[in-house]
Amino acid sequence: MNKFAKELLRKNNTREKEIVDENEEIYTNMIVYLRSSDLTDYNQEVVRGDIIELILDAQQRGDNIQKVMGNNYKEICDEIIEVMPKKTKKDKIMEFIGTSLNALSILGVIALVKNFIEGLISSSGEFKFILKVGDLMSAFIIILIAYAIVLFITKTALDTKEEKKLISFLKTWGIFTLIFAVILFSSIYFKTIIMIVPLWLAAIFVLLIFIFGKIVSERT
Amino acid sequence: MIPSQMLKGVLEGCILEVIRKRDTYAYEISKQLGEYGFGNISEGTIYPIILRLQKNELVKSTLHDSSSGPKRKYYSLTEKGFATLNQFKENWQELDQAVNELFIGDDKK
Repeated sequence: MNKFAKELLRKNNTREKEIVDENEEIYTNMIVYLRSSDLTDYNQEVVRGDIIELILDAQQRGDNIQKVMGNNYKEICDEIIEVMPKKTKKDKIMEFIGTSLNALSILGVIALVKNFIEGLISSSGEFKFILKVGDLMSAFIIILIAYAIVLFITKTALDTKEEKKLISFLKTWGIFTLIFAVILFSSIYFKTIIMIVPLWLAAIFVLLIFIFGKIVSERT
Repeated sequence: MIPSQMLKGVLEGCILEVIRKRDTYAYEISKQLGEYGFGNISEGTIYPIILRLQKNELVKSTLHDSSSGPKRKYYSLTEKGFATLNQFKENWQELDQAVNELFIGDDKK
């Protein structure tokens, strides 16, 4: 996210606090749905700012969000998305790389902590970072699943069909079981070691991934 | 109530005319259209149309102080907006004439 978008984001974060509870849910769903679109971060914030303005103006008059937006929120959002300029292919690729690197740095920190604890309890007292095929596989699959979950949540934010609680629970349960199964399966069956490096070197590498991810994200 | 499909084609031109009369903001546009007999057209319906008008450089926006809270976005016509509005009015007169001719004209034609 570039600095102009960030500035607008901060401003909108402050202003949206004035939205009353009654209007909050629909407003949030609309913004979540807009986040799933191909609008650039900056344009998402421009639209978000305008929607906040419309809602706050209505609140001053004593009206609610239904009065301002009518009843078809999805149709309004689709019309907004259709009109506004979209991300280019390059923007999308850069965003994907930035987000993936950020996710990878988080997974890297978790792996560092895991290896550090293993070093503490091992008899040799050596702090090593052991990278196995299974670790890489689970990192890759976790990032893919995370993308799929975010896409699903944002795309269905304005769906009016009420889902049964049991189905919703089973879906959530299924997703988490899948994630744990992936981690467990890959750590049990893919033990081939790719490399062993000192823990401090691995920490520097994770830090570099984090910095590189931040630089890429800043430029999109 | 005018069906939304029927309104869709003319709403852009009508919003341009409301803005031509006076620089104004989304709620005022919605209110004015209601007063002219367009029925209840929400700001949510108007907003994407204004975005399209802005994208096509027919209207521009400026922030003005509001008596009742934060700054408000006011819209005004650009030169291109005036030209498009005039063109819309000419097209509308032609359409109006043709439809009226059909409805009240001679059945034997």
